Amino acid sequence: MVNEPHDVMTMNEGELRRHVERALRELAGRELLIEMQRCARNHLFYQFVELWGPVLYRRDRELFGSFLASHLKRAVWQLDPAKVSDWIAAVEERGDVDIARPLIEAELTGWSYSDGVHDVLETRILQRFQDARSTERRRLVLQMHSGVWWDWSISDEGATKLYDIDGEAFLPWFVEELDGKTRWAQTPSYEGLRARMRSGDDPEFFEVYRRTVDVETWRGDVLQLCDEYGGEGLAEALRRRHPVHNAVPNPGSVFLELAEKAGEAARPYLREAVCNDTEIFDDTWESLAQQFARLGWWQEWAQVVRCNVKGDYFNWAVETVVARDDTLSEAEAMARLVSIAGAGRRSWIGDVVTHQITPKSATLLYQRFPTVASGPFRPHFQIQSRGDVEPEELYSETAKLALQRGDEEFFDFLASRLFGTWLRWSWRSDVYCDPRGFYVGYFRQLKTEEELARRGARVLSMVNFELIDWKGQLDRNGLAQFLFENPTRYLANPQALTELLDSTDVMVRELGFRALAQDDRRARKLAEDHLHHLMAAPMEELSGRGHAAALKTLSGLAVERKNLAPIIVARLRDVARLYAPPFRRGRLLKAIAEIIAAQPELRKPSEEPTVYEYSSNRGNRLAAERRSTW
Amino acid sequence: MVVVATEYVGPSVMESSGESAALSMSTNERRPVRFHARVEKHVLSLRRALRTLGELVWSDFQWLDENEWERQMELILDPVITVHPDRVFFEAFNQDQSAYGLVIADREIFDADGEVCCGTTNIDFTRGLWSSLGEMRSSRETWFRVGPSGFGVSTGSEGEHFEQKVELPTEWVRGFLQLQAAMSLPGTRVIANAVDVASIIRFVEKNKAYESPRSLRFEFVPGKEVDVVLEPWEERMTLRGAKHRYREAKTTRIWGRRRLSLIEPLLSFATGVEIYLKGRALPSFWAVQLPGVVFVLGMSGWTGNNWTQAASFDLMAHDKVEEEVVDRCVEALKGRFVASVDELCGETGFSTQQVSRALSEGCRRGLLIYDVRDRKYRHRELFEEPIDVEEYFPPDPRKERSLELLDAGEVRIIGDEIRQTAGSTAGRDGGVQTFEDRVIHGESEGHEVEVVLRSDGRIIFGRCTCDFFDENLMNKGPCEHMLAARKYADELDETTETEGGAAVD
Repeated sequence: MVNEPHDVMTMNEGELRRHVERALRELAGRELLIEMQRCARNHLFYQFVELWGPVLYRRDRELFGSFLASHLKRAVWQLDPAKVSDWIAAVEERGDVDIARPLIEAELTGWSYSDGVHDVLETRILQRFQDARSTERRRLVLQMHSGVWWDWSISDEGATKLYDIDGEAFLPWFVEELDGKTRWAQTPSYEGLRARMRSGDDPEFFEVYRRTVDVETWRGDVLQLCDEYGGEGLAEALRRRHPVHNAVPNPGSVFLELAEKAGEAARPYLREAVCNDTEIFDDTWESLAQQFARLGWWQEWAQVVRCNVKGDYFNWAVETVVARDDTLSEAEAMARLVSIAGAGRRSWIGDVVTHQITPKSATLLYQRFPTVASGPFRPHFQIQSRGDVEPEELYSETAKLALQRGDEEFFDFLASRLFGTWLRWSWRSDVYCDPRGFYVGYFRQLKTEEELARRGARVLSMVNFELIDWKGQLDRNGLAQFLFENPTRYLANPQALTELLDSTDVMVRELGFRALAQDDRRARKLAEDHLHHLMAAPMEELSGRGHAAALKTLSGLAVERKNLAPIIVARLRDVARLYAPPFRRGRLLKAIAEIIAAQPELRKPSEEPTVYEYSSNRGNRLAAERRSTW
Repeated sequence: MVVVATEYVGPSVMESSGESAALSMSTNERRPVRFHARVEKHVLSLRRALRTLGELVWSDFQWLDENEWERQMELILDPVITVHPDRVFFEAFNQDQSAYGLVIADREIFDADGEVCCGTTNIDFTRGLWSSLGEMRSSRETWFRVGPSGFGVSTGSEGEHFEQKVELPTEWVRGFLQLQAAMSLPGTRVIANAVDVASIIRFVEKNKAYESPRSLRFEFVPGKEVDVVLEPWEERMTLRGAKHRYREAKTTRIWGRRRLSLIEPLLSFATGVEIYLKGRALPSFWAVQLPGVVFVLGMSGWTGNNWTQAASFDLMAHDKVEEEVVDRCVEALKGRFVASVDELCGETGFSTQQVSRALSEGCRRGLLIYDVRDRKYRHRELFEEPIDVEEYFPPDPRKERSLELLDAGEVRIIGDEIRQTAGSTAGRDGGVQTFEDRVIHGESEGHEVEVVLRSDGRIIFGRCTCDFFDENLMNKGPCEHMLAARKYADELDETTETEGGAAVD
């Protein structure tokens, strides 16, 4: 079986089939496995699953198990279940879950919703579950049917039947299935199952209840609990019934009624509940916040404002607290504001979502509490992720106030927010960030280069979000163009240059390297101070421009400072071994060549130039030979 | 299931101005730890290592469908921080539990301010904080604060307190604990150049592998530097200066090389990389040395073989543990934070074998951590409440089967001898020490078995003719026949000892 991979790739269906048949006949063990993996690279391999699937399984299910499990998933639509019914039965009998799933899936491909595929699947499960001899086997039956039809959920009737047959096998699988559903999945209410579990005092009842209860039932139960428990034990009873994984959409309305009815007795539960239910928005959260405010539960109020309400309410809350100087002392107002600032709800991908403060609210806040605005409220200063924003939306009014107060740092922070706009993917082609040049105008009029370097580096170092649109920024953001157009200016302030070179953003670091590569006396002095940055640069994935700048600086430094040359050459030789594209290596070798040309004592024996004494004569002789031949 | 409840006074924050920066890590109020310090040097090393840890926490190398992914994301356990007198370290697992990250910051890079309260706790670590870490600069005075109290500007806040509850499945906890068993497995240390490791990573990134095996093959040829062969391309890369002491040629394959890309951003600044190989398809640990900070990446044998499900490395450790010794060792480490086996033997008066077994058990219970680089044990209580070992480590079917084999008289010992093996000493001084390993040859259920035990009874190598070994080698721990052979040899020892004692009487 000597076939190069490209041979297998170019075979047609007939050739591949014959090749597979021969492999199955002649090879065994790992050799066969490797050959099958090669064949699987041709998509036609999946056209005849019934040829290789059952044979491989019969030969050695341990050895070929993982191959079958992964490749059968891709062959679901090509497999004819009628031809491999014996195989499916054998796999199910042995309880090979990973292989059984795609086979069962293939069996269902002929069915559609109108044919009642859900019923077919449920009947299949029920029948096999009933026939299974032990709890362990029943568990396997359920596992084999997990995820074989993407939006299938077992019916209430079916779940009750399975529970009646063997609750021990059924419940763990059922709970796992429910947890695996997205919050938008349509699942039955399972009232029948819950009633059956309740009547039997099943200890797992609340686990199922918390995952299946609908909002109205839960509301009724919650309010009934308020009557049952005077105060003692209410929180615990509520916790036991609290829907998990946001199973109930819009729980805010229930929380509101609970707060109104139970008051202080429900407070411990509500504090936890509003912390955990931070995903779903609806208007009732705002009513809940109002209710908490009426009750004077400021901690819970702040939690709801930070995490659950919409942006409008958040901004309204800011403005209200700022304006209410008659009822709140200065310190109280500040504390209230700080309590709603910062990290908001955590989204399901682990990210933190924070409210955006509107320019109007920002200006009001900064006027009254500048330290709060420029401190805890910083994360709330965000510019919409589109380029076509009016200057007013760029917090220009707040920025003017900052300038009046001499708060340069906050001004620079606001300027750095401009980099948050996505320009390249804007729906308008003529979008230009800050079209009237409010921010860039300010930076242009700064008097000294030193100040410009300091402020420019600070703006760039405040860009603390992942910037993936540098091209868009440099094309259409006037401030970005201005800060990047002349790297030499950053040499005026050594600290500013350090800020750039320390940046996590590769474009900003490159700006620093470009500054060091300038033909300038200051650059040569600073290059020595930043040797550790420069030594790391050849290994970094910089753009061609940045890479060339760093290497130019390094070779220049080595030529100029004899004491540094051995270290630099050693590092460059080291990095020359790095797996890299030829043009990068070429640049690196050029830098080494420049250094050893200036300092020949650093040459290794292999780097000594070879001088061909008779080269020109030989060349002439060869040329003469060629002429005579011609 | 373990419910890890965390209470934070406020979220972790990073605040920076032109002149100074302060990283305030909010800790679980239920487990008080306090460490306020100015970062005197190597600020960027700390930043890079912590950002890499963040990348690791949110990384996922498995192909998951939407539902699986969403479920996985709900299982994010906040990283754990431990403050010791000589170091501060952070630990975290990634999404698919196939990679483990450990950031070790030398206490010398800090200048502590006020009282230091050593201990272990969870820290609030969000993507927002991860982004903000990018604002750390070497030119700014940087403060590092670990403690329950929030950041200066937020004090007086009445609404920042928040609580979280993460319900960790049993398998997850078992995985975290099994890691400890894997870390303390004996293995091979290779000291590599950062450029060579970066070459491996970049080659894998830039080339697509169409066939199996997709592994890294470490080749040890006597008298030569260590070679790494990238399969299936058969691309050979020599780890310059990487020495070894093998007297005969040896090959070790490991999988999961895509995960190595996690350490790639650190390599430009690294002074070296120490690779700890535990065996074919067994976990490997890659310690990237940065100035003042070390980042250790632990990888399971392969992505599908995550720590929590398939691996059973704890079976390699000896199961005969004396509770009293465990308690004494943990108690001793509580006081001194870090100690080697020999130091603990001296302090407690127990034998090396007893202490080694007790320390392994301590790791398994989440009370201790094994330092793969210094080969010392440290006190680190992973959870607030001690876990129920019986729940997390239910009887393993292989172990039960081995007992059945013993009862049925299906085990026979053919040979039992001591073999001397040369290995490196605990420090990184390149010294050599000799281990006396016990080699047991036996037969069980018609299969030929060979087990090599270290002095503490841990299985360091094994061989069997059964199907389980044929399929998995030692990737999923020893087979039932090896376990039975070890148990039987132990029983023979005990009988001999008892008989010897009786004779003296």
